[in-house]
Formats: sequence, structure tokens, C-alpha cells
Amino acid sequence: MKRKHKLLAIPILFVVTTILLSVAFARQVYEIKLQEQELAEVMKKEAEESAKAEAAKKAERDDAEKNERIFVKSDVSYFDDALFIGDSRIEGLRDYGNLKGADYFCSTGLQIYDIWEKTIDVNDVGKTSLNALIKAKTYSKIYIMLGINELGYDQQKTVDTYQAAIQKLQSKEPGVIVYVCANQHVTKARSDADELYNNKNINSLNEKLKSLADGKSVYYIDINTLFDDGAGNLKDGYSNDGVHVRGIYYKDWSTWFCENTIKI
Amino acid sequence: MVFSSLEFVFIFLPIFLLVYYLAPYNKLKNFVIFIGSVVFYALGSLEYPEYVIYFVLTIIMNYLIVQCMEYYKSFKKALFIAALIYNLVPLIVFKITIDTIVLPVGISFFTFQNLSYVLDAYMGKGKVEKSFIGYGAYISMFPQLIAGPIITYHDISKQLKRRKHTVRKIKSGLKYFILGLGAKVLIANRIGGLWNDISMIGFESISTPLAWMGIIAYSLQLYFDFWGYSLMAIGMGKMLGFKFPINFDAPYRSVTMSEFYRRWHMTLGNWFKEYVYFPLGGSRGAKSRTILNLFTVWMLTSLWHGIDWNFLLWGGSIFILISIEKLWTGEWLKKHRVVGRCYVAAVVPFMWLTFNISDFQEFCIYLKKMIPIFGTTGSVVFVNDYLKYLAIYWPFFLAGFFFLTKFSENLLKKYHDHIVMKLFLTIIFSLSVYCMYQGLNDPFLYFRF
Repeated sequence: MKRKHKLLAIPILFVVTTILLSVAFARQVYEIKLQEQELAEVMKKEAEESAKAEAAKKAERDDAEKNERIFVKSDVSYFDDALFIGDSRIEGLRDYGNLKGADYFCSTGLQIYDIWEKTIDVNDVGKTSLNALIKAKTYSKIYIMLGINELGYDQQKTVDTYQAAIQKLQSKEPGVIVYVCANQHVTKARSDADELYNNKNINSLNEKLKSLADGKSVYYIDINTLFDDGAGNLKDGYSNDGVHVRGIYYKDWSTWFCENTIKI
Repeated sequence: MVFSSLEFVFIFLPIFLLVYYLAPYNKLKNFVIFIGSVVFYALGSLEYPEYVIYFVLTIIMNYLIVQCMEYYKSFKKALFIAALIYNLVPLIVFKITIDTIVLPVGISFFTFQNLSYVLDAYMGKGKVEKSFIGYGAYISMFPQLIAGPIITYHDISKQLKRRKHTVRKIKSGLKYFILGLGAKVLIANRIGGLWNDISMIGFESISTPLAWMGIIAYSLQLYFDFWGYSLMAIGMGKMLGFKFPINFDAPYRSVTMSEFYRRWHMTLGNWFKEYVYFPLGGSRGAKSRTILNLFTVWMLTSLWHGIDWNFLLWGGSIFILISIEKLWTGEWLKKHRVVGRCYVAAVVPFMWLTFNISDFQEFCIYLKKMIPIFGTTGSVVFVNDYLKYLAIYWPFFLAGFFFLTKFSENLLKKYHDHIVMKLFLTIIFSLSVYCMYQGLNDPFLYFRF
């Protein structure tokens, strides 16, 4: 390359670079706009659908409540003989909620498949297996919120394991009321970005879990009525990681649990 | 592609090294570095092909500008200004639009290396690189491309032409690489989980001890992350026959903040010293002039990290502390080392807090949690939260603190060629691979709720 050509190449490269970067900028801005538009449309659609579904659900729930025993409000002492079995979200309830009288058999990543094998540190009791725990103490209410960590498994298998667990608990604690808790939704951003841990899969599992309720000793309660954004996602701003609510909101969880109890 | 990933360690690096060692002579080896590094860059920017072209263009352009500066002496200044505009304007624009536009990977690093070459040529430091391949290899060299160390052209120009490849160097390089990998994967990534946990809970709900634990964990994470990356770079440099400058020299053992920043991200500090601070007159003039020069350097350092209020606060506070040291306390602190150590240990957590939280409101909440006498926001329901997290994270705190000590450094030196070292490195490597395989490597891939 001749010297003159090198000098000439400089302004040309200047222009080329400017054009190149402008294209890069324009492309990204355009894509963001496009995404926003799509998002707005999807949101609108989802909101309409969920409003319909919500109305249908409400009617169904009203019917169910008429037929069955109705959920009533209790005070926190209701939980003095309650046991919660769950994953990190129940851990959040244990640490940041108001239901201090209850026992919590929970740990991050806990699955319905290994509740009988694991030993967990339970407040006041120490490290224990679930078997030993229910042998040592008597509970008249057991809450289970598990399922999000099991999303990788076949859902029917998960539900069958759930059912077996409930039966085992009932046989060991006669007369106990089991609350099957719906898995809490994740935020929209999280749901959209994840092929497995998304609200579609959570809803599908929750639907199956609901069928475990018999209205006599097994009840299904759905925390999502509390924190949803109206389109079936955990409300933005309630969670920093898209999965767990922030510490301060576990008080609202506690209140909600108090409001949805069965009188014994 | 990050160094601490299975694809890099088991696919890219071995293939690259094989081709590199098979290349029979130096020029061809440089060519392999250049092409291999562009491939490395492209693999990391698959969604933004424009940036790969931009990266290559900056290499061609700076090479041409410096060549022309040699030929056309009368245009030297004009060409120099053109080079400044060409390199700095995109960097500034990208930093301003960072919230909407994705930054080209490593732009802060390769821009500064390109600039160091232009500045060397303009100030008449060292010789100009005649070979385009040599220049391309210097800028693109993948070990230092995305996170430094920032190597100035005159540091490495001789090695580009002639360097030796020995088994000893390769072995030593491998050692550095594994130690760096361990620092990143086994300490930084793991202890980084605590900051994620705290963010998940929300700053308003944490206790004061947990707030301190969190920011100390973040301080350790930042150091082992960056130091680990630099070690890996230096190690790979050795494998390619190069001697890269060190980037960290036990900064947390400093006694003043000016010492801290001579020992933390040293190549960035040296860059500013060499190309900004000294040309402005450094500390040779009147005291007021020195302070002004320091101010300029620290404002530019803040902007290099990002154009945002928190980086300005970070750089601004460091400028104030260093000025106070220069004017009054520095000499005294150097004599009273214990006090100096405590002073640095007290400043560091607050310094990284400004660095870490860019939301002003959240920043204030966290600060009040650390120092509750300013009043608090939110309430602490879970008073013993720190015990829970201590039970989870204590091994990483222990390992982190241990590898900050002089004792650990001496131990590594003493046994550098011992069978114990080989065993130690094997364990570190196996554990790191295990963590990378489990996805424990990336806290965001850690799917257990």
C-alpha cells in the first residue's frame, strides 16, 4: 500500500466506522421499539384473557365455597400447631413472616421427591427428618408449597408423588388438614426469559395440584390472588430476582394465610 | 465467552494453543494470535456482528494513523487529534447510552490500548510497529482483550518481535491460569451469592450485621473476580511466551488510599499516570497544581468506569481522600501502619458500596442499614439473619480472607515447585470444573429456589 493511499484511507475509514456504528445503534433502537410494541400487544391480550379467566374462576370459587366449608379468617394462634413444608419461598415466610408459632420444614431447592429423605434444621427442634418431626410433634394443619423446583420432572409424576405424600401425612397425623398451596408465579420478565421456570408451566402444575383437594381434609389455596399483576404474573417491583418476593411482603403473605383458613 | 466456562477451557483454549504451537515461526504465531483473537471476539458478540467489524476497523485505523504520522510530520498534530476523536467519541457515546445500547465487549480496554499506541507515537516513546499483523496481535490478544490487564505498546513491542516458548513458561502459565480460575469460580462466584441473596430480600429488610457482611462479601467478590481474571490473563500470556504486567498487588493490605490505587487495577492506574498525570506535570509543580492534576485523573477514571452519579461519587471521594493524604495524613499513616490498615479497611466497604449501587434511593437505604445512627428505613423482622447467612457462606469468607494474607502468598511462593503445589492445583482445577459443570459458576444459572 502506498503512503498516499494510506493517508486517503483514513477519512474513508472514518466514514465507514461512523456508518457502521450508526447502523448498530439504529438496529438496536429499532429492535427495542419493536419489542415494546409486541409487549404492549401481548399485555393487552393477556389482560383481556385473564380478566375472562378470572371471572370464570371467581364464579367457580363462589360455587365451590357455597358447597364446601368456607375459608374464614383466623388469628395467628391458628398456626401454633401448623407445619409448613416448602422450598426457599417458605423459608422467606419463616424468616420474614408473622406466623412465628408454626414449624417450618423447608430448605432451598427442596422437592416433593425428597421430603422423606432430607434432614433439615427446624426451629426449636433441631436437625430432623420429616418422619421424626411428625412423630415427635402433633400438627393439626400441614401446609405444602412445593413444585417449582420439580418443574423439570414429568408433572403427573410430581402430582402422584404429592398425593402419596399427603396420604402418608394423613396416616401419621389422623385428622390433620392439609393445605396444598399453589406455586407462586414468577414475574413476567423472568417468565419470558425462562423455558422451564415460567408461568405457563407453573399454571399447568397448579391446575393438577388443585385436583388433589377433596374439600374435606385437603384444601387448595392460591397465593397468586394476592400478588398477581392481573395478567397472571408476579407483580413487578414485588421481587428483585423475579422469583422470590422481597422480605417486606412476607407480612402480606402471613395475613393472607390467616384470611384463608378452615375452621376446625 | 468468559474464561471461566467449560467451552473456553476445554474447547477454545486447547484448539488455539495447538494451532499456535504448530505455527513454525514468530510472524505466523502472531498471525495465529490475531486471527484466533478475532474469532474469540466474534464468538462473544454473535448477536452484534457490527461490533466485530468495528473492533477490527479500530485496529486498522490506529495502525494507519500512526504510520501516516511517521510519513507526514506536518500533519502529525492533525492526525493525532483525528485519532483522539476516532477512539474517544464512540467510547463516550456508548458509555452515555449504556442503558439502551449494548456495549461492544472490551471497548474500554481495547480503546485504551489503541490510544496508548497513538500516544506513544505522538510523544516519541519507542518505535512504531511496522508490521500490521504484529499490531493486530497486540491489540486483539484474547487473554487481555475483555478485562485487561491494559498493556501499553512499549511494554510489549520487543516481545512481539522476539519471545521464547519454553516448557517452564507453559507450566508456570498453567499454574497462574488455574489459580486465577479458582479465585474466580471457587471464591468470587460463590461468595457473590450473598449479594444476590441480600438483593432478593431487599435492603430494607436486612439487619445491620448482614449489611456489613454483604458489603464485605461484595468487596471480596470484586477482588477475587478481577484478580482471578488478571491471573488467568497473565497465565495465558506466559503460555504464549509473553510477560504481561501484574494488575493487582495485594491492594487490601495497603495503608493509604493512594497506595491502594497503586496496587488495585495497576495497569489502568499506570495508564492514567503515564498519559494524563505526568504530561500535566504530575506532582512536580505547586501543591495546588498537583491537586488539580489528581482531580483530572480521578474524574477521567470515574468516567472510564461509567457515566453515572455513583461512579462520580466513587471517583470524587477517592480524589478527596488521596488529596488529604497528599497534603496531610499520608506520611503519618505510612509510619503508623496498623492505623493505616484500619483506615483502608474502613474506607473500602463504603467505596465499593458507591461503586455497586447505582440507584440513589437504594444506596441510601443500604447506607442507613450499615450505620443505623442516621435512622433506618424498613424494619428488621429477622433479627438473626446474619447467622443464617454466616452458616452458609463462612467457608468462602474464610478462604477469601486467607488468600488476602501475606502468609498465603509466602506459602504459594515457598511451595511453588513442590509436589504439594501440584496436588493443590489439581484439586483447585477439579473443583472449578465441577462448579462450572454444575452451573454453580454463574449465580444466575443457579436454578434452585
